Amino acid sequence: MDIMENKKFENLINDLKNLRRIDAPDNFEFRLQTKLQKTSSEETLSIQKTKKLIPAFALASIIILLFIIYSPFADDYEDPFQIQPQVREDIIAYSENETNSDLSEFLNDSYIENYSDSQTNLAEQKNSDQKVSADLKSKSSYQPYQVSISKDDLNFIRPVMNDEEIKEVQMLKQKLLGKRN
Amino acid sequence: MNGSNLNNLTDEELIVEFQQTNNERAFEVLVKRFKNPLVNFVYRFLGDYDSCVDVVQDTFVKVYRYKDRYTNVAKFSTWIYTIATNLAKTEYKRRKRVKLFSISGGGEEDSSVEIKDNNFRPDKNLDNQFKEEQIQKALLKVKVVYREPVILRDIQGLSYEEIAEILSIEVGTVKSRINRGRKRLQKLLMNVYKD
Repeated sequence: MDIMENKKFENLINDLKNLRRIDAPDNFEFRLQTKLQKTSSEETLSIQKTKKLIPAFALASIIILLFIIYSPFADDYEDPFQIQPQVREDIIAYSENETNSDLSEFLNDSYIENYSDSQTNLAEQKNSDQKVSADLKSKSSYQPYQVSISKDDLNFIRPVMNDEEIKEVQMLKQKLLGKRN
Repeated sequence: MNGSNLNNLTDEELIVEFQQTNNERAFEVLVKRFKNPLVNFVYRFLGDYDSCVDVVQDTFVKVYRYKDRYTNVAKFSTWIYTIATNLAKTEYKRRKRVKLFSISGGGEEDSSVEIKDNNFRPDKNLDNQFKEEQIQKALLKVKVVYREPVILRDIQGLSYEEIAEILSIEVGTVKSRINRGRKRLQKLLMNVYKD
């Protein structure tokens, strides 16, 4: 197939083969030497430049490292193991004394008839809380987080009473106190 | 090793000698051997003598600087032709970019503008020099992908395998490209090859 193809282009191939040879100029070697010297001197210059820059690079990298380690912005950084746990607002902690004082206030105010119910509820709650805290204490030296919440902060529903109701409450109060005495 | 001994060495032995002993005379022998074939090849590719000499010099500079990159796996001629081809292509692209603003096209086969040759007289017998000029002009109008293998095969006389290695393509592709390049050349030289 090559021979067939070659025959097809015989004249062209012959002409291409017999094209005049183009030779390099007489000063080719001299020019090449000059070029080589130029490139080698440029290379050595660049190497020297790089060598000169090595201490500067080293110093710069040390400064950057120190800056990263002792950064002035490091104070902004919060270590997750050091920060205080967030207080959940939906959990209301109370102590025994607070409960008693709240209870007396509660009694003074109203709802005497619910007293016994609430007492039992509170007692149950207290028991369960004590159970949990006792469990936790037995497992580790756990200290429950003390939160003091003022009464005003609590979202009590304060009933609006008319004069008759107030009188009735006062009477009940006196009755109760009379019984106690 | 003295000069006369070096002249007896093959190209591969010379580059190894240059690699191992840094003997500059081995490099000089290689320059002597390859300067003319490379100048001829690059000239036929670029069509400009000054640029072609620069490209060939850059080729030797690369050989000198990166001599250690040559491994005995390939022939030295293949390696040096690969370097020259790449540099010639880069130069060709650069020249094309520059020409783009002066003459539209730049002589490749897809160009719409044919450069008129006032000396062209089909009625007169063509002498060799005129024919050469026509062939060179036609060569520059052939696409680079076809031009390269045609020059390497028909002008430089390299084997298909060597061309395949230089251009990093399959032998089959080399053959088809040469065929298409020749066809294109013949078409462009219709006036020369009337029969």
